[in-house]
Amino acid sequence: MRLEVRGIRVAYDGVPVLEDLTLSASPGEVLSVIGPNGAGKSTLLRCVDRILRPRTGAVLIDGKDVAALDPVRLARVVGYVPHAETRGFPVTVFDAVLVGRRPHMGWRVGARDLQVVAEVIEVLGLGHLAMRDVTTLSGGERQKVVLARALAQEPEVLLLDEPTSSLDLRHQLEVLGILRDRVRATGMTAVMAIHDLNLAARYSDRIAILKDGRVFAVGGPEVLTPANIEATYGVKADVVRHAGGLVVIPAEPA
Amino acid sequence: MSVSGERGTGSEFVRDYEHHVARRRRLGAACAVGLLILAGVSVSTGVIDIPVRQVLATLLDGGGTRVSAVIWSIRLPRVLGAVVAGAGLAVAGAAMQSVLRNPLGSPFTLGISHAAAFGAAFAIIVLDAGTLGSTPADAVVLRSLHVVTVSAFLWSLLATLAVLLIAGLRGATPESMVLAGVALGSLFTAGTAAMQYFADDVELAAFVFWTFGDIGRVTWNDLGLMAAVTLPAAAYLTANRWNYSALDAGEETAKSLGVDVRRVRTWGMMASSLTTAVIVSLVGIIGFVGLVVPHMVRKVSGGEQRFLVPLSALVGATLLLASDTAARTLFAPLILPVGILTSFLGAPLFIYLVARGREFW
Repeated sequence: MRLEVRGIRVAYDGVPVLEDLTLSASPGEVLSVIGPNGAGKSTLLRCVDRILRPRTGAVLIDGKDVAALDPVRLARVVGYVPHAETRGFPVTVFDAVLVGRRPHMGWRVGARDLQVVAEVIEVLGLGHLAMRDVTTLSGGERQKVVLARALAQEPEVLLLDEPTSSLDLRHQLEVLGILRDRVRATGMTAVMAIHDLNLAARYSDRIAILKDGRVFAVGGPEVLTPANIEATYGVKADVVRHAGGLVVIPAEPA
Repeated sequence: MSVSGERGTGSEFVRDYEHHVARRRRLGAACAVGLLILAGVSVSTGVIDIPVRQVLATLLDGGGTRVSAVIWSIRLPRVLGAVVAGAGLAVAGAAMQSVLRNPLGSPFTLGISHAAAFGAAFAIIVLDAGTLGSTPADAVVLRSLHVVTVSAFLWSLLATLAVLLIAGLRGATPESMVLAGVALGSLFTAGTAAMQYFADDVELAAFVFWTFGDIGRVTWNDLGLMAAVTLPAAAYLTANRWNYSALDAGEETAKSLGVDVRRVRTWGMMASSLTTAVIVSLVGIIGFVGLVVPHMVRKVSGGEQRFLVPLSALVGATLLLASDTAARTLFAPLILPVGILTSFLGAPLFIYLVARGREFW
């Protein structure tokens, strides 16, 4: 489904965080949202999933304003992987993923719910951990469980806030690879806030650079130019072409 | 988006998971059978022993014998009272822990028990509802028990509303609820202490007697009242089990799964506080059941909300019934208030659960 963010403004305690931000993403596309701390990346994702409500502007999914959808209907369409949320009491990995079916389930867990959960666990390589307690897992494994939960939700728009922040090198590549394959295979729309510019360059179809609550630049990975990086992050960097992609090599704070 | 199921991948996880669920169901069934047997034993034992076969016969055809009078007016209300109070306190504790996402959630942490004690003290000392009298059995009873009960209930209701109101100002977060509860708890403790200071010795004795939780006070009417709050509360919490599971995964996660976090929290608190308030005001303070039972259930069955509420109800009922039966038979003819026994039992049990490892919270 097509996601459109139209001129939203958000302020925390009177301090503006998003100012007249407009952005869109198409089905089958991974859009990375990058920018320095405080640029408004997480706030943008929260507005799309209506965890925050913008003061002005609108978020449209397939032309429909999310503000008008009822919460369960919205949850069937939009999935969200928050950044580092602490969970309460421990449950098994299977149960932690099964919660993602909540918007689709009635009173009982259906056969299809179990099938979807098992499939997602398989895809993320969590099979050997399915009956393990989530609190005994490593940070990377837990992050995968959270992603699995969001995928089990079968959303058409998936929002991810720093999905690779606690992952080691191998898990980063695995998780983003799986995400990109899922997006391609299912035609969902993924919007991901991410700090690592090289991962963004490698796994995104498009990149939006945020600065001070506005879109500074948006386009293919080629928007990662030394000029744009210096203007938004205040860092001098080289961008080199390597193996068909772009690699950002930071030099020093400008 | 759809997931292709043709490859049959992951079917072994589904099988594992279904075994896992079936084990929980068997555990629940075993608890239920155990509770039934215990109830039979409990009705048949006491000052006069009545064989279980005779108990069943009496229950089936009523009868007007002396034995049936003992069963219908003494044993049965007491046994059912322990079952309902135990189930209610355990379910309320489980709900509070889920709502607050805090393993310390219980009627004590939230000041509800303190408020009930304050209400009882208020009725006994200020309203003069509690002069002591002697029964033929040489036990002390409170004369105007109804006034004490109503006062205890109203004050605990007030505490509940205050917690919800204070928490509501700050967006009903778990932290604000716990802090508001702790603050109210110490306020009510201070109030109780102040009244005790000015009370005479008879009033003081009456109040102390009230605080010993005792199932022996339960009448058929009380039983109806306790069931009338416990059952709807348990039903509400069971119906919302997926919402509480989602909340357990995190607040933003729950919101993204379509859960109205604020409403689920407020109603969960309301249901569990009301249940606690009714039970505590009718039977007095019975410690540790609300705190320990949900932890025992989590330890054995894992943390899933789906099983937590029904299993907590069963285990809570069993624990309180077993304790009450022990309390009235161990030192016969002396009958101990069960509140003292549960506290003795609960504290070491809780320390054991804590020492055995943090893995369950």
